[in-house]
Amino acid sequence: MSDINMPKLSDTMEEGTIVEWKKKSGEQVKAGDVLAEVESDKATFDLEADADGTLQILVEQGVPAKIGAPIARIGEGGGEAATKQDAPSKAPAAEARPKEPETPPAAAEEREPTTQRSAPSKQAPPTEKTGRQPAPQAAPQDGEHLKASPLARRLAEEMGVDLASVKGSGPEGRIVKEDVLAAGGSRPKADRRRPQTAAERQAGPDVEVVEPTRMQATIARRMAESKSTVPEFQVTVEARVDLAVSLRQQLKDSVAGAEKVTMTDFLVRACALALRKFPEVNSSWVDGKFQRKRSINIGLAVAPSQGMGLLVPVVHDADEKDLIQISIESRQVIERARSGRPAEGDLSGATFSISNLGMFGVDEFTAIINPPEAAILAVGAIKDVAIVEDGRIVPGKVMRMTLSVDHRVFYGATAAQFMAEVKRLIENPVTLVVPS
Amino acid sequence: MATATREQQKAPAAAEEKLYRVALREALTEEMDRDDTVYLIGEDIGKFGGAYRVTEGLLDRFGPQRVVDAPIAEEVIVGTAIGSAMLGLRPVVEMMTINFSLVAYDQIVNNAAKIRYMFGGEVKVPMVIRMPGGAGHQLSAQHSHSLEVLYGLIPGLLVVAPTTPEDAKGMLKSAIRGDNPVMFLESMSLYNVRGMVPAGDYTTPLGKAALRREGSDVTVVGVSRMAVLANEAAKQLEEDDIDAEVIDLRSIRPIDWQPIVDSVRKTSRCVVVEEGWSTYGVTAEVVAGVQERCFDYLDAPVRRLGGAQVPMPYNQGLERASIPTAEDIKRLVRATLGKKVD
Repeated sequence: MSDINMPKLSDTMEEGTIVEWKKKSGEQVKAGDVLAEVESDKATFDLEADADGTLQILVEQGVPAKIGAPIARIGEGGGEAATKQDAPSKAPAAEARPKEPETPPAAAEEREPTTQRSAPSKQAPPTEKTGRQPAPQAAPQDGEHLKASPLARRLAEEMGVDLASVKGSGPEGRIVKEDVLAAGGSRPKADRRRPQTAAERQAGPDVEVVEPTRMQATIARRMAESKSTVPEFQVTVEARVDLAVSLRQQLKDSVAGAEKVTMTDFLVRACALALRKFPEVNSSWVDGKFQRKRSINIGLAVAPSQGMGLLVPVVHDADEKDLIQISIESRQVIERARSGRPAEGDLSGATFSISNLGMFGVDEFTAIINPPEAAILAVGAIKDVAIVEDGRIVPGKVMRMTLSVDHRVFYGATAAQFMAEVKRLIENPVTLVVPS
Repeated sequence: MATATREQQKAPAAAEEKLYRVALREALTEEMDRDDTVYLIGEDIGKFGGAYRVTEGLLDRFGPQRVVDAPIAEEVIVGTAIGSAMLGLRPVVEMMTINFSLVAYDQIVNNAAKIRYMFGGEVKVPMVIRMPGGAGHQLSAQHSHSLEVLYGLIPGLLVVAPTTPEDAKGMLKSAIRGDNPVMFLESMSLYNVRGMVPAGDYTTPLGKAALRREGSDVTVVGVSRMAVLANEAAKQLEEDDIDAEVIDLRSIRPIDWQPIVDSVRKTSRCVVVEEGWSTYGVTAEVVAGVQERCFDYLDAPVRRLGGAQVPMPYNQGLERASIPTAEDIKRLVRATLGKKVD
């Protein structure tokens, strides 16, 4: 018998949702079989069996589970495991199943925030969604302030009992096993799963309430956390990029493997080299101490291929890779992230991030730091401008870059020097193609 | 399971009721008869017959070569035993009390426990140190403590505490036959306890806990004499409709986790009791291990009970108040179950 626990798929993931079970409880599975599609805050992953045996599903699709929480078991042998363990799994199954026939395709639809656009004309979909949305999402948070024994917590999770609604009969009001059993047995679960918000929504027809995807909810939380806890300031520089633009064209035309090199790849290389020179930028402020990171891993903020969201695939050890390697690897990691099938590490471990909105014609902007990183570089579009050079006006290409800085980690002078270095490297792009 | 249990080895002959001290004496006698390399050394164990009369009559039977009356010098006694064990004998040391073994602590910890490791296994130290512990006899602060945890700390030692005459005999035989140093902890208050002892030659494996009583509401793990008190408490708790399971730890090093874990997973509650100080004590170790292994099964905090945090008082009333009683165990069990505590 082996437990399958909700895997931790990214740095920021706290819980995940089974989008779809590909196998049924009681079905024989083999190691390597895809059991389910799991949605984290960032992407959707395939969950594979790590052993042969009989599958027993503990968490039904659509129900969020904390990372590390058991979501299924693979039992040895045939029916024994399934029958023995069936009882506890019945409870959550009973709640989820009746809803499925009503809206079979909604599972896939639900993680796409695009529904927002078409929704205003339709009344039905939001209601359906609320029906599907598991209310006890809030319960684990409430649960932290509740006194409940570990056994009671486990049983509550297995039985789908919301601990917040249980009165504890143990010492000091602790919720104990008996309380959960009593609560689980006495109330029909379907009732509890109806969120109160459903009523509010109908009361305000002018506003459509759209459930965020897990990714969007995480972004909301993390960005608010960043803005409220990180004292940040910005430094902007403008770089001449005529040489970089022509070098890029040269590489694309004449170097095998560099056909798809982008200006962002140049920036990854430039930032990696600059970070090596300024280790204080490649750092974090954690528990009142500086953490200097040995690896230089650069996150690239990109939009997902569908829907509204944000992915930050990571080029690891960027300072040890040449421009061509960075170009190939960044393209691969972005593709994997956008396909919702990232490899391990693809979405985690960044020590510095770059957000480039140049392709959308944005002149300049400021990006929000993604803690625990200390800085993020926001890159604008390359523009043709008139430049005064030696007293004469000449045509030139410029690009504005704005660094957002966590002032706890490093200060204005360092930020200025770091940006001067990035500027120097990008203005002298030959420095980016020589081996480091 | 590779280790044979006592049940499998028990001779068909009828068991007989015997005193704990007599069961120990039988084990020593039978092992000395069986194996010439077994000898005894300690203070007053020969002519006087032992402070607790465990070795009574053995000097006459085996002579002064094999029943050695030693000077009052515990470090010398244990050092002699270690040296002779390294050279092929099987000494059984009697310390008058575990409290005196502190004089020999360096020999036990730095030599007995480590020599087999430090010599790459080339020599072994097959020896037993028997020592009574525990309070209740107005022997005051330097003679009354239960210091088993001091040996439970030390890798290289086996530390056991039998609580019944049957185990006393069977485990002492296993200890003598083993090739590693065994701290064999007896309880002063158990020497006059009677219990059925199987006839004939049998051994009881070391390193195994014993389930003394089945129950469904709470697991009470007792160390040494506290396992006996836990059993008494469990019987009395029946009146309160509390069904307590009792485990006699028997082995302090290593701890036999399986029966404890199985039991706590069944009952979801656990109380651990020792006579010694529970802070940094044997109970502390058991509690830590239980929560690591049973966290998701626990319905209440795992509780420990031990002796008062004072040097043992001489005054009889104060002494009684300083060691756990069956009443104390009952109170803690009730509290763990969320029952009203009087």
